[in-house]
Amino acid sequence: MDNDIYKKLHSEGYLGDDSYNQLSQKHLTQLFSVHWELKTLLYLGVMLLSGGLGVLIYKNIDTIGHQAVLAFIALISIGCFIYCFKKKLKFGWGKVKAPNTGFDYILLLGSISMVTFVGYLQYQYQVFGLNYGMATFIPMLALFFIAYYFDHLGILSMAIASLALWMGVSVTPKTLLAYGTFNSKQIIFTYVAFGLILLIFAYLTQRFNIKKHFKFSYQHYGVHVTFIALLAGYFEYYNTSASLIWMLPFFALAAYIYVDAYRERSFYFILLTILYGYFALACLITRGLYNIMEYDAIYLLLLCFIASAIGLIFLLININKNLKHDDHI
Amino acid sequence: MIIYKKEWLKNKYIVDLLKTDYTTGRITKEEFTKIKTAHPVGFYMPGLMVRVGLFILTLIIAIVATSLLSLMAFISVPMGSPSWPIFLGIICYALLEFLTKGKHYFHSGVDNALLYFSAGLFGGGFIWIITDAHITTGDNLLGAMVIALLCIYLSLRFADVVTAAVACVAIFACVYFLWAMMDKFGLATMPFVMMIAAACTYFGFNNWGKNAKVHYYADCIATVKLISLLTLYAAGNYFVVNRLNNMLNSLDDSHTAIPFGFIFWIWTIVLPIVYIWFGLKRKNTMLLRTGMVLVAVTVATFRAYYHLLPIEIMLTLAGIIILVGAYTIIRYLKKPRHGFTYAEPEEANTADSLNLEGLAIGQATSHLPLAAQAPVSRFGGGSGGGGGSSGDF
Repeated sequence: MDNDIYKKLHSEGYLGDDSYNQLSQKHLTQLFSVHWELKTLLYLGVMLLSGGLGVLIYKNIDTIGHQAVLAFIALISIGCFIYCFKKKLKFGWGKVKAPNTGFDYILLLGSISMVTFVGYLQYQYQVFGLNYGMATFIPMLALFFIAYYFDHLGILSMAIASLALWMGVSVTPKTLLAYGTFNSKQIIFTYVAFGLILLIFAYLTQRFNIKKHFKFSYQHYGVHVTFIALLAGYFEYYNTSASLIWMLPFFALAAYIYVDAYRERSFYFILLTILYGYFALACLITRGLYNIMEYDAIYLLLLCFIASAIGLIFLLININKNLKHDDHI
Repeated sequence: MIIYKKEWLKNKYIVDLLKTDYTTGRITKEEFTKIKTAHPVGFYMPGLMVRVGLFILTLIIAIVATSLLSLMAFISVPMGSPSWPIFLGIICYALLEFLTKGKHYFHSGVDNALLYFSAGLFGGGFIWIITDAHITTGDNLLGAMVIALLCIYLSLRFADVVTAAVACVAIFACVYFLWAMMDKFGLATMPFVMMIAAACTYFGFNNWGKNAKVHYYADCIATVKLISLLTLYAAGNYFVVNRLNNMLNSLDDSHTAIPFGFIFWIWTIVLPIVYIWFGLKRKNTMLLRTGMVLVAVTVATFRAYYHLLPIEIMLTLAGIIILVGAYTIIRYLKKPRHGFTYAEPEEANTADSLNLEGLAIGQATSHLPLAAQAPVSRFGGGSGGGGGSSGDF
């Protein structure tokens, strides 16, 4: 089938002789890549091994003793870092590639065991006493340093998570929504602050050209956390008129992210802004109409939902047309 | 049968094919541009993110619009006839036909949402009719047949993978319910009948897929083949057969013996290896990956019955074996051998650029105890994490 197409294109003059010869030999020379299969196996192996060892140690802690376990974890961590320091390529403010495939995994293992080590130390011996801030602050700094120094996006995510932990919030969108921890004003304000810090990091990353490819991670978490926290704030104060004040920063932020994403041609953030904005708008319309008309509003309300969604579809199609020339995902 | 312009589909196939050749450097840029302009594709096909957005928004519109219509129609009279969802389905389907024909939408999100929504309305309506008819025997079979016919039609018309998958599952359900009507004998021979059905489907579609004329349906055929492979395994999996046997004979789950059990054990253990073997031999990614996943399923099945080792020792050993094995193969494949390579695949696919690995690391490490769990003084739990991703969104 494919060869027939090549033959036809060749005879119609679209393909030169050289290209045609290469293409018609393609099925003979093409290699079958097992890259992703092997990488998955590596990842699975690391997970199984660390899980299995964890349980093994947990069950035999009486015979092994805490010091031995700690020493073992420290040894793994130090070993990994020595390897990484030896093998790493020269540091740069741009994107630096990993020297080999194993490097990222070894660095990851080293970082995880470092965090485990500090956690274990605190849990067993209370090294930091009751000063929990310090116990989370130090691993966080270390993780940020490792992420920047070795240029590792996965560890950057871990660092962001520990920043959240240090500030007293947890960060994955999954946990954000699943545990529904929006019951106190203090938490909401912390979330907003955390999200804004991330967005500022994203901005600075871009502005001063420091590891530009890290911007996505900052922006990704920042956008989700801030939007969700602002909406939570809106609902927390729903019965007072202060709730509307929460919507102002919400739409200001939406406008900023939208403009930024448009400039960067990032459909992902455009889409996020549109969906979050649509949700907020729907909440406002519902509230407004209900206040005016009570239960008779339902027809108008549904019509409004439909009209606004159709409007957004046209907007999305339009943006797509304007940005088409160089579309990323 | 297919709604899309065949010429464009053909052009799309050619352009997609040549695009990979262009990215791997087999043809020059001029050649590619020339081919691209000579083979225009007029479909509306936005990028992934736009598609997701359009899908979500269209689904919202469809749901809100149907509830609005239902509300207006049934404000005074009580809801009550299956013809209503079917009527709504017809409206939805008409809109879908109009958009795909008139605006040339091609799997653009809007048409996907309308397709699934109308399929759901039709399916729901027909099932409602069948339940209303109070047929005592064979109502499951009838339902499965209706769904199968509906989804076969939609798959042929719109070349959609989801409807193709549902159609395939529904057909297997038909076979199951049909054979189950033969009572004792039917139930006793069920696994073998399902195996035969799945194997026939796989080989049938495998042959059909080689036909150059059906390249429009290449993705649908791949989906059906994947489901057949999984069904073929599940039909003989000891755990599945055992549980199904218990359920049908109303036994509790302490019964772990089944007649001819050894056949099913052999099937459970050997089939994944067969998949992997043929996957490597034929250089077929689908067989290889399915086989790899099924090895894990087989291990889980085995552990459900026999506990040879404590779980932690098994995990540790498995981890070591897998790591050493993978490492050895990677070293061995540094230079390509026997047509295999460890180098990254030539065709850049979207999953890679999403950096799923970073996301996975984030999720997996999100429950690490970052530090001792603080008492109430701090409000966060000991969790957090998430995924890194590449910057090219």
